[in-house]
Amino acid sequence: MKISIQNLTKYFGPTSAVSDLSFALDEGESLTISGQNGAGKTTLLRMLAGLLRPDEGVIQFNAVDIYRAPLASRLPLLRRIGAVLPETFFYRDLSIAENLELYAGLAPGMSEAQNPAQLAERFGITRHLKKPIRDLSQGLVRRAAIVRALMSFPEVILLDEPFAHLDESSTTELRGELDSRSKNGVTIIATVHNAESIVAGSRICTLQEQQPFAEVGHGR
Amino acid sequence: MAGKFTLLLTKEVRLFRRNSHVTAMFGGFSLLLSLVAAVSLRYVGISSTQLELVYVGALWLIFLFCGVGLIQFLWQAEVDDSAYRGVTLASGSDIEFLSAKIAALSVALFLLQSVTATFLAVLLGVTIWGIALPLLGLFAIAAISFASLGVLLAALAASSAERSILFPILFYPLLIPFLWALVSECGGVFRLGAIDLGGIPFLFLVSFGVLSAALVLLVGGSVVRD
Repeated sequence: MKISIQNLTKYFGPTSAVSDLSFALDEGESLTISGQNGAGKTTLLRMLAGLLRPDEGVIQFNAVDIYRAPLASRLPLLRRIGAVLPETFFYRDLSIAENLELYAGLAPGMSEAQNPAQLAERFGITRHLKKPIRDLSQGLVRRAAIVRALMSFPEVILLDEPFAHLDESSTTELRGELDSRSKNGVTIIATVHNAESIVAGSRICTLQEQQPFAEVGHGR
Repeated sequence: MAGKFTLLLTKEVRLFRRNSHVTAMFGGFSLLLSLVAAVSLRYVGISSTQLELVYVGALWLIFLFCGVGLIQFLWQAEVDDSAYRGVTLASGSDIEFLSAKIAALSVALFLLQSVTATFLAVLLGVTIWGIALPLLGLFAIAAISFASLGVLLAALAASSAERSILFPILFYPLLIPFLWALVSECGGVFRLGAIDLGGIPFLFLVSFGVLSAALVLLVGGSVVRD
């Protein structure tokens, strides 16, 4: 999916969390945004996920404004997003399996290729599937959130600190999965605050307070 | 559409089952209040007509208290970790989401009210067996109307940072005429032995329910999303 962001600004009270931000991504392109805590990275991802309305500027997916277009035009696009954000979107009283079953039934385009059980196995959460989310460690919930985001075969993947709380094997698995999805035309945007977390093959930009959004390199 | 509704309704039922202590708490509170009312009234010593009026008033006050509490509980599960935002984004339709919540809440309120009505009647010595059917009909209308408007307003408040204040501000004033209509109609059932289909309280209750359901269908999507 093509993503275009123009002059995006978000205020929290008098403070601007994101200020006059613009960039564009083609189908299959990846972008890693690095920056310190409080630079507005997570706010940006929430706006891209359709969860936080910007105060100024435009976010377009395939040339459709995801906040101003009629619901009928923007909802199909928002449904193609897989997001791993600080909020997990899980019901804490339900088990991982029950949450995944719910999302699998609601999501568009589910098929054998994105079987949640297969993804759960790869991310090492199979033996925890029946446990309620509230009883799990942060790392396990994070892995479950990644499975939820990936299983509906999204066309856009948004990741906030994608490798945080993950062990080595899950990190390797996620890197491989992102690489493969990117090659299949999925657009990926990740935010990180250290160089080790950069998504391979992605453009790298920095987001810092009071400084212009700048492209600084390319991840390997 | 039916598939999504079933999935979301299953989710609501599971949330109720996992939090059975909450429903037990509201059920227990209803029964305790009934017991207190019954014991107090035995000491006061009032006539059977006055007893029926007290019965009706107590019944609907308990209903409103438990209804508001259950709505708050059901929405807390949605607000924690923004679960409802994830679900409505994934499903692409908010009508099924709201409908499933209304259905689950309506059934819970109807069952709670039926048990409370029976228990309170036994404790106070009020005879309701001859009017059980019209009473159950009234409970059903009340539960659906209350759940529709309550869920819609809770959804509206959920997207606001001031939700804990906004929900009571929006909802409580509307409950005053609703409570008047319920008490009047229920009193009428005791007098007439049936629902007064042409009476103003009944027409108000039905209009309240239809308007709430129509609002859910018409603006539910924008309320949850924007």
